[in-house]
Amino acid sequence: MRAIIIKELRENLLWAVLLLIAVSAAMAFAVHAGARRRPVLVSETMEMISAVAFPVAGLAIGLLQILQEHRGGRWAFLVHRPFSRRRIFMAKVIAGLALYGLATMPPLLAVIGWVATPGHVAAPFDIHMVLPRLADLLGGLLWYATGLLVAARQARWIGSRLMPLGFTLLVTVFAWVLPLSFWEAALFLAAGFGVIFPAALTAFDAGGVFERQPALTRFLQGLSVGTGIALAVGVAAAMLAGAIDWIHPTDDWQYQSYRISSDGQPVKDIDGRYGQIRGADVNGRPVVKAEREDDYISITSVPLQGLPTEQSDWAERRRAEGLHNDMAYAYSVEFGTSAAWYYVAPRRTIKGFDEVSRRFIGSVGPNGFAPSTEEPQPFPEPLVSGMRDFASRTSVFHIDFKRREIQFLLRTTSNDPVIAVPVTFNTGKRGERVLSALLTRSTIYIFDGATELFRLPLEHSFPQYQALEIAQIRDGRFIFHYTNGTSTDLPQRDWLVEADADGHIIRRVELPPLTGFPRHDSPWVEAGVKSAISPFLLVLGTVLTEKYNYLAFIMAAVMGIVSAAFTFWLSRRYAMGRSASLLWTIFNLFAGIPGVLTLLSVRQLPAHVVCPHCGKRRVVTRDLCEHCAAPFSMPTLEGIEIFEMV
Amino acid sequence: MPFELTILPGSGSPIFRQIIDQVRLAVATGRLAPGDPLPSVRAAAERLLVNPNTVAKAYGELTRDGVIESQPGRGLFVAQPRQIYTKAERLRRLMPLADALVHEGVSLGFASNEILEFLEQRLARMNLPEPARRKTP
Amino acid sequence: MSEAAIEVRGLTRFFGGKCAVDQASFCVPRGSVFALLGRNGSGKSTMTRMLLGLLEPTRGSATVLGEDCRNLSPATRGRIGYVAEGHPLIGWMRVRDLESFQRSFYRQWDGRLFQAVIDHFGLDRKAKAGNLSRGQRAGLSLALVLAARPELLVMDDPSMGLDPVARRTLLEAMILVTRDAGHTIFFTSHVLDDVERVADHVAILDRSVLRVSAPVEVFRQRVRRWALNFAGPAPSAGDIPGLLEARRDGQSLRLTIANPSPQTERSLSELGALGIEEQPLSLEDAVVAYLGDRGQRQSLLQQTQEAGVL
Repeated sequence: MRAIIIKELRENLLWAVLLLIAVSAAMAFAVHAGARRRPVLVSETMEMISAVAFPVAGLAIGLLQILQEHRGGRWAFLVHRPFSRRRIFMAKVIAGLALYGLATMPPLLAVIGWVATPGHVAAPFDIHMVLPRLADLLGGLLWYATGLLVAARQARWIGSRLMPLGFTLLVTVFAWVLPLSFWEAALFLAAGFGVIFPAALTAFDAGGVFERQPALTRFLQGLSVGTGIALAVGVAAAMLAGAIDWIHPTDDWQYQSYRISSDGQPVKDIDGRYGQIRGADVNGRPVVKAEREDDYISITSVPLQGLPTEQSDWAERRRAEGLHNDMAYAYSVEFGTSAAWYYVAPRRTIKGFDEVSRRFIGSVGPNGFAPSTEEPQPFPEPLVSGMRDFASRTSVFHIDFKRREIQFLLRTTSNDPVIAVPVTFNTGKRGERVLSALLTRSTIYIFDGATELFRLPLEHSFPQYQALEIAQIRDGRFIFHYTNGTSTDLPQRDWLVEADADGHIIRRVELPPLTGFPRHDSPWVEAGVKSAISPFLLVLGTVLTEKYNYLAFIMAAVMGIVSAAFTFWLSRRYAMGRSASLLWTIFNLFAGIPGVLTLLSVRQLPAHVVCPHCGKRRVVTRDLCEHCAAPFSMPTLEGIEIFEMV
Repeated sequence: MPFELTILPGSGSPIFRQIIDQVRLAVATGRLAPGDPLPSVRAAAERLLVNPNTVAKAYGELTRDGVIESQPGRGLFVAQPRQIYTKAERLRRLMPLADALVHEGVSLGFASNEILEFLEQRLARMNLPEPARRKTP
Repeated sequence: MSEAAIEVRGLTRFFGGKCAVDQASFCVPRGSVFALLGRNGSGKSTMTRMLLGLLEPTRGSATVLGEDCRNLSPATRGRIGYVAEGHPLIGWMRVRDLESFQRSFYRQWDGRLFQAVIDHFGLDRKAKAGNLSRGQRAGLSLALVLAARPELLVMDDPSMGLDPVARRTLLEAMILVTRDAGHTIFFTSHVLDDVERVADHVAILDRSVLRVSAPVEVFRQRVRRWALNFAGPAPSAGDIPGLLEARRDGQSLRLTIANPSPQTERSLSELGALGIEEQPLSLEDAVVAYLGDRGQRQSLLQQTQEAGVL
């Protein structure tokens, strides 16, 4: 065992060092590129680099370790010895993990050490920031296992060889995109590893021959290959659908919404496909003057669903706190005054750093500024940063970073929480004075800086209305437009409230509902694409979302039956065993085209010869003919044979 | 000079037959005298670079024909000459070759005395030891 | 302990639609030196790799040292030495690295034997395997395999690319293995003089079909050659059973025939030749006649002579 581990290490050391250099260079670039919005360790650049570097390193090492053994007669030299192939594989894996660690951990640890040491970057460091990078590092191990599998399995054409990469890509992307905590992500990746690694082990053990591997890992290998194929088929189908749609566009769809003209009139914006604005007033009469962007005032839209950190919906909350969410660690809330200020989300503190010395200056807490010698005071509730102000569930405040003062604009109770990030909106023409709007569940507050101008009751909330649009027109009137936007899930509603410059309500209008928006996908194309990927997924998705589309069902059934029939024919033609035939046929009833392609990719398709007894074509892999049970006849004798066994 | 076996692969004659013929010839010409040791099967095989079974087969036939004998614990030696064939059998073996020689010589145009001279030259060249030179019937 | 070191039953291998080995059956007795012969591409390497479990047979089975070739246990693999075609090694390792690498796997390692073979091929312990010449690589492969004292030595074309001196040493190594009773050698080769020296059994793969498996002597006895000369131009040989090769040259006709019987002698005399003489046949000649195209054909020399090509 030791001998093989040492051999592996020595053989691949150079590659690991090259990868180390590449990863280090990439990380150095990320550090150098710095970050304005987010500290280096969680900046966009670092996220991109981390997302690519670790998988590439893992994949490269995995591929290298196995592919090298397929050169020349190296394979025979390696496996023909009194040492089981599985143990050889495990020895390789031990070495591979060490090589992966060599290539990836020094630069990562160096970067972490760099940013954690005060005086290097003008940004906070929190231990939680290490977590997404750690998750990416673990993800690289999944890619390592995938490299092993891709190289170890027998594949007839290069496309099918690469298919497990699709599975791993999907797992990695989901681990990134789903709002998971670190441990959930790690578990998710571990599940992916649990599929790929055993398949790689037995593939190596069997020399790649599919039929020699145990049923479980054959299933796992099929799963990984099948997922990759489904992904490829899905992409191809989507591209095809897009091409069809582009050549043959379906009915011109109408995009309608209400906009506010510069003199305060709601205008029905009938937008065609190519961005034209055609206006009509509430009664449908065309408004000639409303054709250019300039004729409309700019609106600020405030969602009514509630603060991201206070969502009652689990998904929304997780999105705020998830592993790869950009807001979950620290982001800059002020910079440019020779100090960079960051909100550190896990601690709920606001910290400032001197741009020149890069040292911690101090923090701003609920009680104001505290210098660096004091412990930063955390805010009692999570904060969100708005365009000018900060909000928590029970407060809205403004921080003047130059004077390092905190100014509370609003304090409320949990019975009437703040429901939106504070926004600013223009008045009249752009560039003039800016007002801010703060929303609690019951009230809209309009502020000018720190001064409250007036307040109005919030007349509607989620889920009746999705958003509130606020604007002030030239003559000082305020427009409050409650709307459901262009969502097709909720019924179309629009409610307009006009107030004068002092906040007294002038009128309330319920605007006529906008017409529904026809679907712009062709039902054929969409159903076709989905059923191509998998009839099963199509049916499942339709049932879950309760959007029944009979056309899709029919197409799914057709695809499924055709695939199952073809699969059955293939299984007969290639004389697969009874249980294998049955399983594959049933499976492909649900899996569809990707299932058929998977079958063709993983199973050996034996050659045929003509049976000497019944005259039909029979496979060469069986001793007895599958049609007439006759054995093969021996090769014809030529009278020159000399056989004598002693 | 000690007796050395040689073989020539690819000559058309099987290797074991080459060994047999060489030993027989050596015994017949007196190169090998009765009681002389022969290399063991393994030694001969490794010297000649041939399969020991081939040497064993040759030695086996030589032993069966009484040309050599195995002395347990001591090795292989040239056997005392003893005729295992009857005179009639020996004549039967020799006569066809004599016929062939005579026919060929005559058809080539040689006279009887010339043929006899050739035979005597050949025999003289073999340097046979005294007992093999002249035997009274 | 079974009698045979290797037993093959109906072993078949297809590559796509092409049959590389067609239902071969033979037996390699324990303690024998067994040569598998055949033209290039006749399936010898395929056969060897199937026997060692490196290639999955399409059909059929084989037993190696009592175990199914598809499932050789690590313990059994430890008793089999294998030198693959081209003497593959790990190129970046030095000779001494390879020794310690191999040594760590085999309990019965004979370091003196390793050193002896290394010395005989003139190898420097510090040399990298990838920098060695063909012959030296062969010697190193041999040393690595022999030092483990395998009960069964399998070699696929071990003399390929070797100079005569290296070939001679290879022969010595094979004789060395025969020192241990019950140790078997199974090898493929094109150097038929060496095969004649060292093999006691021979099998011949003729375009994927095994047509010969017998002791060498049996094979030689059953392939014979006659030269016939005629008064006029030699006739064509006609339909003689077992005819391997017929060469016509003016008034003489040379026939090489397998499995001759008394019927054969009669058929020959019916040709009306002036004289029929049996000719001695080396192993090489016999095998070449066996593996050449069946029936009557001119040699290259005859063909180019008659066509006026000089």
